[in-house]
Amino acid sequence: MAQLLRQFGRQSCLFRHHGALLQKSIQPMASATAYEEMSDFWAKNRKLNRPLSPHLSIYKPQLTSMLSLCHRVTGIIMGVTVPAVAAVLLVSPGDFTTYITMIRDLNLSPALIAAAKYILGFPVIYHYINGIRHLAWDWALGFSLKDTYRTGYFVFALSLFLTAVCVHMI
Amino acid sequence: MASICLLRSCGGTARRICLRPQIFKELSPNSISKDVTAKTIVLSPAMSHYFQARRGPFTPAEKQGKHMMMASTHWKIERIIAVSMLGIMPASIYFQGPFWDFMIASTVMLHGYWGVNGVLTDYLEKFIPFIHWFWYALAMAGVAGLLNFNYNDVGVTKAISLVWKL
Repeated sequence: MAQLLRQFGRQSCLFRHHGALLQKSIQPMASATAYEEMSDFWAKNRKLNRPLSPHLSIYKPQLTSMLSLCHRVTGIIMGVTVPAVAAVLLVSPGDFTTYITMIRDLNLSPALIAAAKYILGFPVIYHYINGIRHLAWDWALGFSLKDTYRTGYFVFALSLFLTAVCVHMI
Repeated sequence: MASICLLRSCGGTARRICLRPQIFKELSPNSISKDVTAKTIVLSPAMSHYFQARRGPFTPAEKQGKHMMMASTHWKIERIIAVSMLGIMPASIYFQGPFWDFMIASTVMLHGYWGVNGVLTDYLEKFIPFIHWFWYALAMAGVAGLLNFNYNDVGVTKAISLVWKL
């Protein structure tokens, strides 16, 4: 059907200057809706059973795409962790101060606690700072390639620095 | 890409479990008139919408969807929340107290809810159409947990400072 329609379409292109032919060839087009044509297209592609393309691994990882991926990943992890922890606290019997005392009584090494704080703090701080960058893009600011790289390096360095400040100085 | 393959196979499995072809054969008018119980046990076509993995084509009505507001209005509200979070997050850590507990809990939950919901719509819905319902359940449990934590426990801001003082 689609093939037939395309054939008619092509003919109408060839005889564009011929008013009467054009009129005739348009009429069958009107009978098929855009949805029907799209359905034929999907059916054809399903039948071909093509592999997924393009494969992600063909891309060389760039700073910009990796920072963007990092923003998504930290966002998803935090977005799932916050309600999950809240739900666990909802069903757990004790109150929060008891759990804090329990952790304190374990006498964990300071290095381990610092590492845990890096893991907790970095996603929040990175997502916060890179979020400003994303919001700037939403206002159509800083889109040039040079700016995206410059702000990218700046955001990554600043978030590492601020995480270190939060872990060791607060 | 491995994850995409995994999701595809998951979608396939879900379809095999939930959408065996005989289910739809049983739904034909003849079989229903023969056996009324088949209608009550088997998935209705409306329900299959939630279980059948689908990537297209979508009818114009399906594309439009049943939304309560324009996508652009939703986008603006999302940005307003995101921009306000830039101030709310440091302020709640600095000032603390019940008001800031509520502010940080509600904005973080809204932002996270929309964000993850968008990711599910973009990447997972076409493989596992009922994935949203797990997220709705988790988000509701999360809101309940955060409100309970703010009312009956130390509150989010105090909890953050307690963890950081460890």
